[in-house]
Amino acid sequence: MSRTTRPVGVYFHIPFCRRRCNYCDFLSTGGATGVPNEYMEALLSEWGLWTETLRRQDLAVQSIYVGGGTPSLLEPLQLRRLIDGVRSAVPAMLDCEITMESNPDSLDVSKIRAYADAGINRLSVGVQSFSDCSLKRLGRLHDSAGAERVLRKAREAGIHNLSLDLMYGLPGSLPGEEVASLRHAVELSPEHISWYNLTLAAGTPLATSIAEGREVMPDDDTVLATMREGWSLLVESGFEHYEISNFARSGFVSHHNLGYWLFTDYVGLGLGASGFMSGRRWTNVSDMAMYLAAVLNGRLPVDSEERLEGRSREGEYAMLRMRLPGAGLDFATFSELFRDDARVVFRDTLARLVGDGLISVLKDRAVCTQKGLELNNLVAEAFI
Amino acid sequence: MDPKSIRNFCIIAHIDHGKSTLADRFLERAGFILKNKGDQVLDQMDIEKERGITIKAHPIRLTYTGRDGSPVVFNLIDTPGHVDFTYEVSRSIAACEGAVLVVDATQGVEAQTVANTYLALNHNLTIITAVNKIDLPNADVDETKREIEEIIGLDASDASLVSAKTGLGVDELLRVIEDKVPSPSGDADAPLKCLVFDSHFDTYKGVVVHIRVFEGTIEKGDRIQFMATGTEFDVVEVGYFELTPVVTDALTVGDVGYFAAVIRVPAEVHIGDTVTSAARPTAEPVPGYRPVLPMVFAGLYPIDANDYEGLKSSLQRLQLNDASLTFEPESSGALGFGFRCGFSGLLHLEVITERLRREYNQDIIVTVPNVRYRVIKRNTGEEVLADSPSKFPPLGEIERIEEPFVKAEIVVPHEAIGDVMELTNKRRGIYINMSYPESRRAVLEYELPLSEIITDFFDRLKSITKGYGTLDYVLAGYRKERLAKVDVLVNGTPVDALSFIAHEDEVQHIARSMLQRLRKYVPRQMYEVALQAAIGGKIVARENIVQLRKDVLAKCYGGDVTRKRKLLEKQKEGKKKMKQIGKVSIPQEAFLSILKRESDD
Repeated sequence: MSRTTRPVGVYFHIPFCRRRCNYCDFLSTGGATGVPNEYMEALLSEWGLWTETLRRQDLAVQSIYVGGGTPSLLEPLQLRRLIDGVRSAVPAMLDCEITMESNPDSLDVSKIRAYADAGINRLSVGVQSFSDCSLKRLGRLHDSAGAERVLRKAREAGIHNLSLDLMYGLPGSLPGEEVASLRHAVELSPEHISWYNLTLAAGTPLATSIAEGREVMPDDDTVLATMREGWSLLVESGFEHYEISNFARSGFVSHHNLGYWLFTDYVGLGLGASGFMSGRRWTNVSDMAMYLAAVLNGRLPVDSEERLEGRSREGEYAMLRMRLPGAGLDFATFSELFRDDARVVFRDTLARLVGDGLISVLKDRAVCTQKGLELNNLVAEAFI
Repeated sequence: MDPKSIRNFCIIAHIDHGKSTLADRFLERAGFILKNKGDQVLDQMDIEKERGITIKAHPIRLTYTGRDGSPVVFNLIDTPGHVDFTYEVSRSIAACEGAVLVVDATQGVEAQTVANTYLALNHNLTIITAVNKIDLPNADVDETKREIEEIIGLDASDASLVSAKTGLGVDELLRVIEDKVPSPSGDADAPLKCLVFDSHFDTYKGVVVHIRVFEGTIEKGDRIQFMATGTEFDVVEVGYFELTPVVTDALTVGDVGYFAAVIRVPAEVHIGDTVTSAARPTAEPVPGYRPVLPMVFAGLYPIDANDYEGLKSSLQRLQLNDASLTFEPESSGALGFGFRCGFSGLLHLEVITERLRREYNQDIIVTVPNVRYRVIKRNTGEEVLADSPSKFPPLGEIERIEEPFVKAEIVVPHEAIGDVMELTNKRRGIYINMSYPESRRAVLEYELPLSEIITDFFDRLKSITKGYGTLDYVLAGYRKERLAKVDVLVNGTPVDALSFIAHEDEVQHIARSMLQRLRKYVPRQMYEVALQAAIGGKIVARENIVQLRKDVLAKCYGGDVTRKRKLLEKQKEGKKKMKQIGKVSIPQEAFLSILKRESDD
């Protein structure tokens, strides 16, 4: 890689699921048994619209991320075409991280092996919980035994970078149940764990259920206690807490996801996907017919975009950096990126947040305190 | 205009008894085409329409063909229908010779109707009774007539029977008005004598003064004088009102109209004042006007200190059309610079603050309303009139506190007497007398603290009596009461804008419920927030707002980032609109929540 080469991430959105989960507000259609080839062709065509730009800017692909939806609905061949499509058009870094999200219910060992053959070197498994009760309430199609089975098979299939997604703050959880679930996950020795506090999204069946009083969300103090206990458990188990909801063993942070918080350029492809390049952020249309029509006609299927400039760009950058407990807002990187001194730009903000006990300012960066992580929205709000 | 062809009258009706609909029928008979049925022409302001109340008097000239075939001019002056607007009603009434009393045949006579009818009788107006909504299946004409006779004491045997909605009986009613309402009398050659009964502000013409001419003539070029202030102006335009102002040459005896005289300062024009000729003044002003008596006071503060001047000019504009509104600058430690405003009642306060928000785009905070107390100081005996808790001397300097009482006449159905007496007792009422002018209703006379009346007393009375109870009251002087000024502290810092006055026996209860309401509106903050109520230095109630301990977005990936940033930006904007008390942010709604008195539980 030459000195001027910059990294770029590539995201593919697979908006199909066998069944929608009760809490999910991502863009996806339930009832799918596979992914239509028409859509896969469209993804490749959309990618084709970008390749020239990427080559001209001397960008090299540092990560490919296939998210959803349920990407494990893809036939291995479909996936192979996608990944080959990327690598054949734009130079990729040698250690290019290629992640696929998956659901335990749509995986078996031969399929995983085929995915690995297609290029997948990191598998993210949506386990969500090791409590069958919780899984049922969430509307997941797998049970805890099934999840465990899949993880073993992933290892057998040669996946050396395995990530588990789990959730806490679920309605109806018993005391200790969620931390126990997390402990179970830790015992399976994945390289990476994403541990999310369930966010109640408007319009989901879960939100309706809560509104109608059929289920009750746990109170803030309960969730906070779980959160603290879980974070300690993960850190004590040797995971690095590198983002609010993300934990990794040494050398296994998700480079793709980290890119979102470091302002790395990325191209988002597919229905409703977002991208970010040179300070411009765009989002694709979320209507399938419109998406297919645009791509078929050689047009980018962009629905909305915004160009961040000046102070709002710096503010958003700081907001994202403050999600990273260890890295924080690094002053040198900031001045390299903006030719501006974060300590000067955010002088009042930093002073106030220090006074409120939300952040600590170190010699080379500002980082959140424990309180600043727990009240991260207040920190974020201060910077924007 | 020959005064003989003029009829000046108003309509007295309870809310929803059909006054505005009837006025629409009158307009149609005078040749106006009203396309949108239900667009009641007289109710101009949105708030009036929404709340079904008429706030402001709108004069309107209607021309019909009289019995003898010559034109007859009706000047219809609308009257507000709510208990808070007695003074405005009295102004309208004084400009008229007659009044049409409209009673809903499905509802019967209501309290305010009674009070306003007496007001009209006191001004020697000829009252014409009309029973409305006779088209409705549940109309009870005989019972309504009986009520008019028994409750008000008017002969209802020849009452007009109308349906303002269908137009039934409206033509007949117009004839009755022509026949019975006396035409104005006065000497057109005498010195000018006009009554100012309203005004509005026009950007080009300045204050437009609404007048009724009793004697003499007013025309463009006249130099006129306001008798109360002695100020003089040159008339640049005279006219009358149809649906819009119509310019004319002159107004003379009996005419209702307006003049403009490049009056730039709204405060120069006093509702109820008499306008006369500067060169040849009349000997006596028009009698019968009460001075404006604001009864309820509250502080109005701009959220953003930079809006102070804007708020001031908005209040000046509002005052033009609203004689009962008073204001003077005041300052608050918590809220900065604002105005102490006087209102005729709580509804009036709500209407004004709503108009400031909607029509003038003023972001304001309203403080706890109160009456004007009289505080006698220890040793010196000095008397302080306090229309705001902040004007109270320190506790140690107070000899005694007196509060205004009213003499209230409450008419209630027989079966509700017990409940109403309980209500008046709770509100510290002092029983004076009870009489039974007719078998089904009793008249209770009480002395009540004005502060108890201005909150929700009338609403409670209505609800207890299923709408049949009526209330009229006059100020009856000050009485010594065991009152206390309660301060509200947010994390130990007194918020003067939240201070209130309460009776000692009720302090605990009121303070607690107030803090509980406040707690609901103050968002959780990074610190535990203590809300306290104190008298002098003694804490009488306390509530805590537990600190915000967790506020974090779990997922913030590609597409989430913009959404997240925009959400936070919006929250940040919202916080800017809050008032900072020390480190605590208090939203406007918290201040407003204090206005709402809990129901009597």
